[in-house]
Amino acid sequence: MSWTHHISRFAVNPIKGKISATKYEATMKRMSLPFQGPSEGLKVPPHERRTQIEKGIVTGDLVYINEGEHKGKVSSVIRYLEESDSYMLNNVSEKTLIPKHMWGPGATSHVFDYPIPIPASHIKLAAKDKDDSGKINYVVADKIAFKEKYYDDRYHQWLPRRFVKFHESIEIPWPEPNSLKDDQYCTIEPIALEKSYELQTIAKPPFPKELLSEFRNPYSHHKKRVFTEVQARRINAPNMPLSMEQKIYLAKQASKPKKVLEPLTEEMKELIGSKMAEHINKIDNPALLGHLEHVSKTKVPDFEKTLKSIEENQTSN
Amino acid sequence: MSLTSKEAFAKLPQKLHNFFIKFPPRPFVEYSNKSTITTDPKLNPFLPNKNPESGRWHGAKISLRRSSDLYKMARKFGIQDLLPPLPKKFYEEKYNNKNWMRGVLQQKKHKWERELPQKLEARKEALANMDEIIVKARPSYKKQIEKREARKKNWF
Repeated sequence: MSWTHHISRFAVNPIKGKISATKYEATMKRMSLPFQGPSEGLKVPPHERRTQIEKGIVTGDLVYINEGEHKGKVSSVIRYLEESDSYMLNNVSEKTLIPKHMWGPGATSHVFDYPIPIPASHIKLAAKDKDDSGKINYVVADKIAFKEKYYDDRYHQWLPRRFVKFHESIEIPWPEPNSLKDDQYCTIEPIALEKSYELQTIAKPPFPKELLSEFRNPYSHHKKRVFTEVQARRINAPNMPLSMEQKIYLAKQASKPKKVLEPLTEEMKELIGSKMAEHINKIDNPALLGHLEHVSKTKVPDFEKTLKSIEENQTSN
Repeated sequence: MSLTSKEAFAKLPQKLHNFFIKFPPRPFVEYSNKSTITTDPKLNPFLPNKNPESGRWHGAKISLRRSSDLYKMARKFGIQDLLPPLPKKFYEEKYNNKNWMRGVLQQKKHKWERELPQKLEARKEALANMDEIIVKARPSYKKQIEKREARKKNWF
């Protein structure tokens, strides 16, 4: 759950299918005011929604209505409603009551011609074509086929070419998009896109070295190499006083004689050597002898330390 | 080629040499078989010992793992007896003194499986002595036995 968007597990959610879409629509219709019109949304689940271009019919396209009340009309698309997969068309409208705060510019009445959403299945893409003699022909595409993509300057994006399916010599070009007019306060496009500076190489610094001191504070306290007394005191822990027991323990430890390491005596060496010789002389296996040779050569850092401490003891005595 | 004791001693690994400097070989120094107090001169470094002053136990100076390493290395050179007594057994000794679980030595099985041989034996016996058992329960069966004997076919 987020604070901005909350869905209860128990609330009715028609997208998840806990309630039938038709039932939900009926309740929405009953609850909406007349100017709000029929509910449009929630017919298409979000993962099944398509954009205008994916659908093949965009705003400004000519379309032919082949079903329903307005069958036979040829009109142009004003808007595509993704949520309900339907189109709003020019001159296919209904008179509805609209509250004053929702009036458009130049409106003088509460009664307003508001376009009715026509489902996409009731619509087919149409196109005009002029003959050499000046006669206008209409073409209606039952299905649309997409082919290779090209960069459209008007849309500023890559678009597929549109053809009438099974009659692929007939191309229906994409319509002119609704161009936005620049306001008086707008920056002109070439100025907005101009690049006044571009990094050429990382070998050279992008600005002179002297400028650095102006960008960054050379006297910043983060750059000081020496701690103040207060800072040093904060970093270092204080020396805690020892308890009585600790003092007694330390005194006892100091009074004990230090353990002195001594080298092996000749007798010990003789004993160890004789036992080893007796054992090794019995071995016939050359592989095992090789292994013993290898084991005897392995070095231990601790051994060097003990030898050093023995030497120190001997020199001190 | 036979090695002299001096040549053989030169082959003593540093690890064992280091150990013997700290804890000299056995006949020269005695080590106790059991845990003792930490001030005991016979203290065994492979065993945990008790501090008589504080009453706390000190863990073994040389851990089981390290002591095993030392023992195995010493055994390769035949000087394992010179180490202080270990709390652990190795190789054949370990295997021979192993306390086997009962289930490993003899599988328990189900009760019917355990009793099956006796049961089969008893059944065999009962089949062999069937006539006598029936006669005991029903004396008139004797006549039937006699009849059967009379009907028996002989080759002569």
